[in-house]
Amino acid sequence: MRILVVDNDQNTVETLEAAINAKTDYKIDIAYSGKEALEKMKMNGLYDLVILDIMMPEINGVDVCKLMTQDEKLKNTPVLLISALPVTSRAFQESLGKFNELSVVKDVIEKPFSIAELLTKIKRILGF
Amino acid sequence: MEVIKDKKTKQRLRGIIDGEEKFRTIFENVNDIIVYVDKYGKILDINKRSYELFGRKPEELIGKNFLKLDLFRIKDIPKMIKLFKDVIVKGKEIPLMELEIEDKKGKFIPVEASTKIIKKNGKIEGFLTIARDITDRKKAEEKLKESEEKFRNLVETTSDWIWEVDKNGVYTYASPKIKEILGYEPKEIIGKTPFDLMPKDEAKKIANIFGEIAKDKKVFHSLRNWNIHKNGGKVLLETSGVPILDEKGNLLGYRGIDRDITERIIVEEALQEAKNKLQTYFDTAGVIILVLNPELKILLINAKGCDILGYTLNEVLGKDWCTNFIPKGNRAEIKSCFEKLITEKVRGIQYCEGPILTKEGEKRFIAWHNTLLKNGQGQIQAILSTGGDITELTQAKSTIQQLKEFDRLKDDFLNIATHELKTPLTSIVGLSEIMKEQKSYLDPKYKNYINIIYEEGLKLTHIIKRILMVTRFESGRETVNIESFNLANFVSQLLVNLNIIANKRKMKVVTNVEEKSLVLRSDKEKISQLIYNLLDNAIKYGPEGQTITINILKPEKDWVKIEVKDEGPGIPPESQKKIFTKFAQLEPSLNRSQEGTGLGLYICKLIVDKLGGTIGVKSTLGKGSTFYFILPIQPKKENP
Repeated sequence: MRILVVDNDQNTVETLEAAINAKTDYKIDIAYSGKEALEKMKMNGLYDLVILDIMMPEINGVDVCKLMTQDEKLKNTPVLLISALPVTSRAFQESLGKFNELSVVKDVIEKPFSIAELLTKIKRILGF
Repeated sequence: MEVIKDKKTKQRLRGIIDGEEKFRTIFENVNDIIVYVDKYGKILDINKRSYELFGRKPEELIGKNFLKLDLFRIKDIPKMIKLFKDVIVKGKEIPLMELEIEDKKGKFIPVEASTKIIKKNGKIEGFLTIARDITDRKKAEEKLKESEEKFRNLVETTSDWIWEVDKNGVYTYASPKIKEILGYEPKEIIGKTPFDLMPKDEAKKIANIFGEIAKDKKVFHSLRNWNIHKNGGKVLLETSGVPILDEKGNLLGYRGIDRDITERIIVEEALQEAKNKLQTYFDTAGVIILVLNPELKILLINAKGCDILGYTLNEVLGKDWCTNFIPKGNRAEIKSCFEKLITEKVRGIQYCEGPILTKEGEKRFIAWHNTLLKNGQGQIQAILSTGGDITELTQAKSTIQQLKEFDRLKDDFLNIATHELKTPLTSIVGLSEIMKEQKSYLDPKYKNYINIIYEEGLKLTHIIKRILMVTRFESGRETVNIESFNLANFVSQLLVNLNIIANKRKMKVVTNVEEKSLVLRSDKEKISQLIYNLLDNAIKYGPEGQTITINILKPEKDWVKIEVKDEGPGIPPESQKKIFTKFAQLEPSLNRSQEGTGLGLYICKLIVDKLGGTIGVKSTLGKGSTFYFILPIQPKKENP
């Protein structure tokens, strides 16, 4: 299994990496921006899952998903979005309307999250 | 020629001759007609003026009968013959006669003829007639007659009563109008005084006033006085008069008119009363009422208007509205506003807001409603404006605007805080969680430290989430996600996790479901939060080993009640009411034994409100507490 973790916050990336490494044997790639994420997806072949932060400078998480949806190769790669916005907030709900149109988005997890919760969601997307 | 020698006779003769000459000179040069006829009417002598007038030579006249000369109007001739007969036969004197004679141009001239009978030895010898042209006098008489007629007509047809009094105030003349005004015939009034027609007090009052006027022989106007009609009714007269003076300026009396103004006064009084009433309404109105003429000058303003402007009524009336009471910078705008109204580009009622300038120089903001006042012909008479002082409102609006701005800033801040606080917490909680579960050879002391980091990180997460949630609820940005689910199943799913938490303090959670098949349409996430929060409280404040019971009661009508019952110390009655308010904790904050944000129950209340239900508590000190919430089975607005 190959997972791409995308977040501009290095510590969050490392936390995610540590959490996944501690509990699974998935192979992890890292990208620190939306742009880098798209490049890696195109270069390194298909990932089984992209864990993607919403709030990033320049190309944000939602934009990345949009571009993925429009790309023939990437449109079937599942995405787990990480959001600092509360999932029950109106702002998030409104964005969620957009996510529903973005077929790549499979689930959302709110920061901060427990490792157990994260792994549950990952496994659910990957079909375990 | 006889020679006169005697001196005396000479002198006398000269006198006679002189007299004769003198008479002749007068006779020929006088401007009157002088004619001397014998007793048969034959002209014996006639003066120069006469034949000039008649345009005939002396010989054409002298020796002829004057009646046969076509000098008179035919109708006058029998009159004259009869006169002469009377004189001759009956010996009468000849009176002054007015005749008309025909001049050379055929024009008849009125003359006044005086005739002297000339006798000799007692017998009638002839007649000497002097006739004077009275054309001018006749004309004057005619005019006088005309003007008299005119005045008579006026006096008798005017609606006013015309009178004359003598110097004692006694009526000497009363025009017939008196009958209509006071019910008396003019002749009943003659001999009375005006004061006889008045009530006693009024007579006394008016006599004083009139006494002053008459003393100075003054003209007076519109002196009001009450009189008594012949039928007993009261009549208000308005009297005007001028003094009648003789050539030396002595007062002979007064002449004047009286007008009946009773009706007018009654109407005026009624109008005044109506006006006063209106003025009262006008002045008690809580808004400015302003009437401007089309040139924007103030015709009328009420007490409230004066009050706000800080001027007295007299300082304001007649003033130009814009120049005096509108701040310089707003005048053009206000003028164009009124212009639109007057030119009827705006129809009906116009609304505008703007400042006015008070006497103190302060600006007040007024919301105006303007409309046109028109007369029956549809011509614009005035502008009626009512204005409410919205200065405070305007300030409040701007404050609200500022507050909204602050609120937006707060939201921005919260969004940033959300991200900035939660992102590092992800690492703190996540990494400490991994480390504490790692089978490592770390010193147990450090393992404990990591555990503390993890626990505190979780707490912090918890607090941030709660604060953010309250903020979202309060600003209406929390959403409800409605779905259908079986309530009993849902709660039993929660029970597993709830017991994990409870077990840590050696407690247990049980459920008691009265209606297993109940399907609820509500927000699952929020209900689970409700139950978690209530359970969290029960665990926090309850004794170790207690049993916490979740009761799902049998639904009543459209509602279902869920209870969380503990075996804790209970809540004093005075605290039960405020327990659901923000930051309410039972113990004062400095010596609190339990940590927490004081938001748990407040959030519960916010959630229940959002879901359309109610929340409450029943508790007896020492016997535990039962928190409950009642929810609609279907969201209320979804019901058909």
